Parts: sequence; C-alpha cells; structure tokens
Amino acid sequence: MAQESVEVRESYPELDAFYDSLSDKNGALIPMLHRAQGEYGYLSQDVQLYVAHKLGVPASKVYGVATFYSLFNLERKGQYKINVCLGTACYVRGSEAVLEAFEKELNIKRSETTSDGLFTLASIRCVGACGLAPVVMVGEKVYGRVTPDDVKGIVDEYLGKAGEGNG
Amino acid sequence: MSSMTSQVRIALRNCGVIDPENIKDYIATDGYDALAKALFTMTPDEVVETVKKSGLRGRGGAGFPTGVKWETARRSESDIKYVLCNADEGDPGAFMDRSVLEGDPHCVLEAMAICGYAIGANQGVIYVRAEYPLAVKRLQIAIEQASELGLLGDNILGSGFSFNLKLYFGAGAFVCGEETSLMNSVQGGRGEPRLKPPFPAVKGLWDKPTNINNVETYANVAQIIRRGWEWFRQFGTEKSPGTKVFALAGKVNNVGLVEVPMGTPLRTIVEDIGGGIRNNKKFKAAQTGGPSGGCIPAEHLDTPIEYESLIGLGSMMGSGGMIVLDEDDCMVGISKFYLTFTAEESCGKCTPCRIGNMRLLEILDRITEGNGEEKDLDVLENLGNTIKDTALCGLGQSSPNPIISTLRYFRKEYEEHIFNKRCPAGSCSKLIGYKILPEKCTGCTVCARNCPVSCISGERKQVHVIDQERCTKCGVCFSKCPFKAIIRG
Amino acid sequence: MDKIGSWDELKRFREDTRKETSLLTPDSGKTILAVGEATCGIAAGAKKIAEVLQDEIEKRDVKNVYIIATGCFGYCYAEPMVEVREPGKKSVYYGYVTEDTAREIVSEHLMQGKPLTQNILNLEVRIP
Repeated sequence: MAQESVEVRESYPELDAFYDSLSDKNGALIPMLHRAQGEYGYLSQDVQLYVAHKLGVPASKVYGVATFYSLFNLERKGQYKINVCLGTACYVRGSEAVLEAFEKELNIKRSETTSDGLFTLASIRCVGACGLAPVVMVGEKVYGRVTPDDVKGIVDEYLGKAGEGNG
Repeated sequence: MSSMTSQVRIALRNCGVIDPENIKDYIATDGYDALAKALFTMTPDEVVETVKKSGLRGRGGAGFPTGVKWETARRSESDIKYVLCNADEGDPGAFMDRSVLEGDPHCVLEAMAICGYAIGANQGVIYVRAEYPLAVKRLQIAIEQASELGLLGDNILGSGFSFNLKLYFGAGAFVCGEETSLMNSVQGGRGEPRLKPPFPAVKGLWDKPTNINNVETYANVAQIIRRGWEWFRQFGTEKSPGTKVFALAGKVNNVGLVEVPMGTPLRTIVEDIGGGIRNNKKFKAAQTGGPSGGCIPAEHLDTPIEYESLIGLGSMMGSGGMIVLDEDDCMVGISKFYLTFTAEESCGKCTPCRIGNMRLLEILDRITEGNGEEKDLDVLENLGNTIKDTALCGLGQSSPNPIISTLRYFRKEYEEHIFNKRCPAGSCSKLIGYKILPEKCTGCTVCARNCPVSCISGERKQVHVIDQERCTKCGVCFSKCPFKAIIRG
Repeated sequence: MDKIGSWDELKRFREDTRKETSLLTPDSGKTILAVGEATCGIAAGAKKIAEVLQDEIEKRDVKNVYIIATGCFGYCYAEPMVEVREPGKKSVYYGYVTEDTAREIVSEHLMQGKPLTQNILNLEVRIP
C-alpha cells in the first residue's frame, strides 16, 4: 500500500498540555491516545511517534496498544460514522440485514469509508439500548427499531445535510 | 399484574427513583449512611466479616465470594493498596452495569470507599467503558459532588480515613473484563491477561494488593453494611444469597432490566416479567452468560437460577445478559455469532484461544454454508473441550461454551445442517430458498418490483417465478408478498 | 456546599434535605414528574418529553410541580417513561409517552386529578 501522506507537525501543544495536566504519569499511554484521537480524529503515524517520544516508551509499544483496542483508529474516518449494533439483542432482531442494507446503499463494506469521505460504516457491540433493537447510531444520534427499508432514508438524511453544508 | 412483584430490587433500588446527578437525592434515601456506620461503629475486620457472612458473590460472572476476596486483600501487607471497579461491561446485549452507573452512581462510590476502609486502601479506580458516555458523565458528577461534601477525599466525615477515586477509560476490548487484563490496561498496556496466582488481592495493580469487583457487586455492599448480613440473606438461596439483575432482551415482549431473588425460576423471568415471546412465537432457548455462557432449552425453564444450577445446565450466570430466542433462531447461527465475537476479541496471547477459536469458527462457517461433514461434530466437541482445559484466562476457557451447550441440547439442528443441508429455523441464508406457490400467486407484481436483484419474472395477473440462480435469498419478496404465496424452505 | 464533618452532620444534612429540597419524599409536599433519562430513555426521546412537560407546566401555570431526570427504571420496552409522584398518593407510571400524552399528563392528571386511562403501566417492584 502506498504510504499515505502523513500530517507532519513539529509539535502537538494539545497533547503537551494534556500530559502536563495528568497528576499521575503512570499508565498515561491510553489516556494520551484517547485525547489524541479526540483532538485529531485518528492516530496518525506522527501522532503515535510523538506520544512514544513524550512518554519515553518505544514506538512499538504505542503501536501495540493502538492496534489492540477497537476504539482507536489508525486511519481517518468519514464525516458521518454509521454504527450498526451487532450486540446479541440487535443480532437476533435482524441487525445483520440492516448492516447489509447499508453496505448495498453506500456501496462499501463494513469498516470502510465512502470515497467522498462522507460515511464510515462500522459495526459496534451493544450501546445498551437493547429495548430499541435493532439499533443504528449515526454520530451520537440513535435510531431504534431499524429495518432494512429505513436504511435509504437514514443515508439520505445525511446526504441532505452534507449538501446544505456545501451549498 | 401480579408478575411484577416477583422483582426485588437491592442493586437497582435507586435506579429510576432518584436524580443521579444530585447527591442530595442519594443522601435523602440513606446514602452514605453505610459508609458512616462502617467508619464509626465497625472495625475493618468487622466490615470484612459482615460481607463474608452475607454470602455475597461476584456478580460479574464466576460468583467468587466477595468477602473472601476482601479478606485476602486485607491480610496482604503493603504500604499501598487499591480498590478497583470493573465497569467494562463487554457482554454484547447486557446493560446492567450501565443502568446502575447512569441511575445510581453514588452507590458504587460509597461501596468502594467502604471496601477501601475494610482492606486498608486509600485509592480507588473505576475502569469504565468509553462507549458509555452518559455513565462516564454521571460518574464524574458524582465524584465531584461527593468530594465537595467530604464524602470522598481526605479525612472523610472527620473519621481520619481518606479515600480518593479516579476514572479510567477502557478502549473497547472484551478481554479487559478479565481482572488481570483490566489491570494491565489501567497500567497503560495491552489488555492481556496473566496467569493466576498470584491473585490481584495479593499482587494486583502496580503489583500492589488490589480488590476488584464489578459494578453490580458493589451496588449491593452499602445495603449489606447498613442493614446487616442477616437482612441480605433473607433473599435468594443458601448458596447464592441476594438478588441478580438481568438484562432481558431478544424475542420477549417486555425487554428490560429485571432484578429477582436468586432461585427464581427462569420461567418467571421469561413468561411473567418478560411477557412471553413476541408475535406468539414459540420459546426455543434462553441464552445466559453471553459469549461465555450457553443456551438453556424449554425443558429446563423451571430451573431456579443460581450460579451452580446454571453451570449444571452447561451455561453460566455471567454478568447477567439474558437473550431469549424463538423458533426462528438457528442455534448453529447463534453459536457462530458468539464464536465470531470471541475470535475477534481474543487477545492472541495463548494459542488455544487464538488459533483454536478460529478453527471452531471455520467449522461453524462451513456447517452454516452447507459444507459441513460428519466428523465436524466430534471435532467441535474435542477441540472445544481442549480449549476449555488449556486456555490462559476466563475468556478462552469459556469461549467454546456456546457451541458445547447447543450441541448438548440442539444436536439435531447441527445434524440437519450437515446431513440434509437444511436450516430448520430458516435462518442460514445459504441453506434456504424461496419459492412462489402458483396456487396462491395472484400476479400482483409486488415481489418483482421489490426484488433488489430483479430475479423475479412474470406478467401482471400471471403466476411469477423466482430465478434460483440469481436469487440472493435476501427474503424481501417473502416479507412483502401480501398473499403469503412465497414460502421459505 | 461545605464539607460534612461528622456522622451527626450527615444525619442533619439528610433530614434537612428530606424536608426542604429533596424531590423524593412525601415530606417535601411536592409533585414530581420523573422522566427516565438513561441511554435507552434518551434514545427513545425522553429529553423531548421532559421539554414538553416543562413547557406545558409553565404555559398552564401549574404550581408546585417539579421535573426530575432519573436513571433507568428497567422497562426499556415502554420508553419513554414518566412517573407521577404526588404527595400521599401511589405513583402512577406512564409508558410509551408521546408529546401528546405528555401534554395530557399535565392537563388531565395534574390539573384535573384524573389519571389517563391509556399508557398506564402496572408496575409492582419491591424495594426492601
């Protein structure tokens, strides 16, 4: 795979400030990665190297941790993150078919991003709203009792928003 | 509905009752009274003794006696000790801990402070899923308010005892529910488990003695201290005193959170509280214990729920997820669902779990696609048992349970898939097909218009036909046909 | 808030809270509308329901009624849920609450003292 052009920055003042604010520097790696992802959206190679340098740990350790936990992304995500719950309660109420409908509608597979950078499709494990199963989350918004027929409407809602934003 | 009285709430007593963002509500309902009672009228040994006598067992899964854990941590000599709370609820389909944290966060803080006093620890850490933003927010507010009132922090209520609490965020790894993995994660590393012993109560976080319990376990502690162990023991059974919270979901009418005394029959939960199966379908099984548990079939519906009885049935209590399955659920498919989960979540440290579960999953994949072989059933059983015996941690040791329990009760369903290439529940898409019944088809064209791959042909008012070669078995025609003229089989 | 310095002070704090500010106990003499605002309730629209209740109370100038947000009462299937707690009366639980139901809770249950005939959930939970 061709090397993506990584964002090269001399420093990450947000990370420095966060590091300084930690009362206990032990076990700071995961909190640092959480913060970095919150600030920059994903953990680029540069950010990982910077965190390694800052904490005085090998880059391999940072990479090892970043890839171990499913919440950390090493790649940039789409503007809207569509998360289909594949927890057990949603699964037995048909969320797999909902996920497939999104794959068809967006013409991407799960954990991929559309070429226009608008949508990232992913599955998640239980948001704890099992009473509304099957559940889909777009960003922070929760859609309950979703059927494959609802999928186009949900995607259109955000296509509309993106259109407004550009116009 | 008399059914509802079968619920007895100890852990959930404040959930839905108080405003979780207002500490005054918690205090008004006797909050922090147990902590005061412990600090001013009991020695640490008496607190440990009370928890021991109450018979409280870990609500996170395995049911280890909480008092014994506390006692070990108390006896471990060290300058620093820790109290940890496992709030990394990873079982997909379980939301008991989330509800406690969102509805009554102070009861967890109070219990952790009591535990700190009992074992001699001044520091606590709550390891909470980052996927639960609301629980995180309410915990933060609770810690702030309790600190402001001096119910956490230095010299609590003038007793001389100090206890500080910190939050730590998980980053999405099921294995971090295992206590040694969780501690590795708090230390900033990959959440990989290690061998026990040494147990955390002897050598835990930062190698210091650490008591670790899950949210629901802590949620019982304040009431035990305040009202005594005898009070607690009037609920539940001899071996499993108290209550258990279940997240009841799946094909029941009333999805929700229930808390019942231990020993309540499964039937009460499914039929009375859960209101039976949706759409008048037939109950097939209740899955308890999530990816570590198993399926309990209809013939065992009257089993009283306790740690031991569930293990006897090949399942386990687990953290309290209970998914009800009906006749449309394929048991091979359910096993595959859980194995996909564990194979994905395996941390990769030990071979039985990393490779063994992958092989199990491949076999299940084959079976559900119609390529199963006769020997597969033996391989599933043998390999499953080997993984149970040899994996490093609780995740690996319990990962074959969904297969082993469904093989025990639903072997015929596996055999149907393998020998007759049929999925009796009509759920495995590779093994089903759709057919239009000519005598019922009116030629209304609804199916043809809705077919996403346009593989249904026929003139208006003429019988339609599905091109089996091109059909993707999505089932849209089946659900759209107004005349029930399409059958699945 | 000042720190609570002793067990006695905690007891006093509790008594004061029960009388003055707590919205939980009948001692306070207040009517409470408790809206379940845990993840599932919010996903089902509880925040909007709370807004409508607040709006309706102000518009109709109903006195001595307070809205609180609670956690999950456990009846996920019936979210959004509203509990009406009136001094000296047994709580009434409403489930599947829509904006219209919310308005009726204020106009009929609170103002005319007539609980609605629909949407009532018969919940009996023992809290020992």
